[in-house]
Amino acid sequence: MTERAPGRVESIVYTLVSDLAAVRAFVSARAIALGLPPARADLLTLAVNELATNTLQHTQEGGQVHLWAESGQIVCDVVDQGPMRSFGREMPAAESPHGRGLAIVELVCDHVVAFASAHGTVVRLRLGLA
Amino acid sequence: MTAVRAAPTVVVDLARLTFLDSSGVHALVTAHRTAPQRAGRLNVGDAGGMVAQVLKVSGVGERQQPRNGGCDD
Repeated sequence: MTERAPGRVESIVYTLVSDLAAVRAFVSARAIALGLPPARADLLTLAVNELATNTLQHTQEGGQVHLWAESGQIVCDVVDQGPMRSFGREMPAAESPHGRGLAIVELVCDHVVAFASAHGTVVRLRLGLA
Repeated sequence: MTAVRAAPTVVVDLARLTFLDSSGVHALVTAHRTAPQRAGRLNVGDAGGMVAQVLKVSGVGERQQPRNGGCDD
């Protein structure tokens, strides 16, 4: 679960809110370069942005994003020192002000899983290239 | 939010917005809730691309109206 594919893995580190624009640009550019259609790359970028924002709201250490392609998919890990994320939640009601971030992540990606690794808490996102 | 407090009708034109995350959705929802408390209205419209998709998956997309439209609740 924690080992990565032997292919080329691109990474970026973030520690401040002001790093998020670079994280978004990195994810979008790399995902498109690896063959993800731009509209789908926007959704992956959104998902990573939600997770990285979550990191910066709940931890002091920042995090890392690792992105690669394997088996016809874009795979993207967001790694931080935050608590284990839980998925499978319902989207909050339209009137609710909070709690959408992780629900959005799950809805816009084809597959999402969270697990603990030696480097921290990993949320692994997958979007099919086809 | 300052605009919602200051004016009876606030129009948020999303046509040129290219990125929206849950923080932005939060801001729109909060403004939408605040406006009626002040006898005001918040009109949000013209979202396209990923912005429209984010509003849709967030469950607030039905508050969007097509071009030339506007939502008055």
